[in-house]
Amino acid sequence: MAGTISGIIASLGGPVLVAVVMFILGLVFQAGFSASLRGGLYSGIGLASLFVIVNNATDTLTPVILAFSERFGRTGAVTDLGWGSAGIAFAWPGLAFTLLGIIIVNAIMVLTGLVKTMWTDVWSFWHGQVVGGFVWALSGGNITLGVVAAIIFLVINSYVGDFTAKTYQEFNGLPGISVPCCVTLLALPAIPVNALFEKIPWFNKLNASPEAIRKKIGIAGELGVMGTIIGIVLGFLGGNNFAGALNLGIQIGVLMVFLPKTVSVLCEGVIPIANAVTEFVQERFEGKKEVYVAVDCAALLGHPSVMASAVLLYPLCVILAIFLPGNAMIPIASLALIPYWCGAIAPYFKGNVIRMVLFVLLWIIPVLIIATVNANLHTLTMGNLGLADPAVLNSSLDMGGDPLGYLLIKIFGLFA
Amino acid sequence: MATPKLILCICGAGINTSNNAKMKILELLEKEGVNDIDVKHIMIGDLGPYKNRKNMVAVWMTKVDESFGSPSVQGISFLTGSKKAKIETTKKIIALMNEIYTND
Repeated sequence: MAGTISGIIASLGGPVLVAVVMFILGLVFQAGFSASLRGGLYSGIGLASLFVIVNNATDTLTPVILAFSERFGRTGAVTDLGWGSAGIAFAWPGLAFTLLGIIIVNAIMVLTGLVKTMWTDVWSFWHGQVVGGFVWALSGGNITLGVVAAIIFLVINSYVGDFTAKTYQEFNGLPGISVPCCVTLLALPAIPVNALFEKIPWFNKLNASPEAIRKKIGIAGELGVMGTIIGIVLGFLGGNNFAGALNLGIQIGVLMVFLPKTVSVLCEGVIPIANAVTEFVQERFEGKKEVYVAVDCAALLGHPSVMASAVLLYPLCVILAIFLPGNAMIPIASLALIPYWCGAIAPYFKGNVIRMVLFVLLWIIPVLIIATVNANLHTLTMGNLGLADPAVLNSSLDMGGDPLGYLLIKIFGLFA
Repeated sequence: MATPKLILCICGAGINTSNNAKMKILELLEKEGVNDIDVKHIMIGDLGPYKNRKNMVAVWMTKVDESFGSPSVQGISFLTGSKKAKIETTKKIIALMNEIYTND
């Protein structure tokens, strides 16, 4: 029976599956027939378009990265798929179970006063869903184990959301919010690191003006432009001729501009269902408890120090990745994650650009190593779901390199 | 020919949060019978080309960046607020748009 079901699921493919699941969930949470249908279809369209971009990226980038690694004697080559990882979340068979599971678990935890974060931002579940997908692939297809891992990951995130809520509310002027999204984990190491920075003479007086940095960097601060420049440089270093390097630049530009767009279409499908869930839960909680409403970490990026730090970090992270021993992934598509990290830590460094840049450069070291070590599982999971060519090693910073996710994978690996 | 009216929803990645606000605003504009305002969502890093654009209200789904210089509204209530709060924010945006609208 289970075999037949997974056979049917596998033959349908991720895009059709997500369309069906989202449509049904929309009906369950009373989003209305046409809103649910549209949501389902857009989820499917978004996921299918994500494949197109991911496959195009692996086809064009992989030979260059291989040539580059060979020339510079680097060990192995892992293609960075960036938020292509999100495809796992919406294509793996535990999607609906995890979604319903965390809503129920969270509701119980809020009602019993264990957490204040009311997690109705269905979109942000994707980080936990990817952990679930990894465990599922690692255990040779055990959905239950994957769902349990995903829910544990999300529950831990809701505690981090509680812990950081007041700081984010005050710093960003957004009362009542909480950000249980997994990047807020960075707040935990940021606190002691900032205390350490405070103690270093001379350094603790340093700061830089975010406005001046952004003005100086200009259009290179846009990911499309920055990605193209990085692509051209890598192309030359990898031994391409003039035309080859320029074309590689444009191809990376395609990845940088259109990967977020495809994820956005997927998101457009999820939003009506997510909103139906929010209303469904909010109506039942109204005035019963003091709750924080979960929002995506994109809400934390408004402080001027955030994008100023990010634009400095884009090239610095690429250079660091090239020279880091033990790392086999050059982050390109994953650079889109950098502003999120900066947003998560900005309040803890009081918007000090120099401290934020230094902290992220320290943080990215273990993340790159984990992304490299985890590449086999990342590739296996993407391959099992038909998301990417299993013959080419791939990974990402988010979620391929997520430390908490990796810890859970290791723990659940013991049961697999 | 006047520059078309535009509501620009801004968040960190231009994927989820601003997209969500855009969809709510479009829905509420339709309910209010307003059909001459375009609504877009965008990542905060890609704001450059919109600097000094006329007839535009910036809806920040994050901290309002005063240095950007556009007429601005804080829009987080599209995510966290009640239905009433969402309608009120939409009305505020429409009123601000009418206030700043120029025909030249």
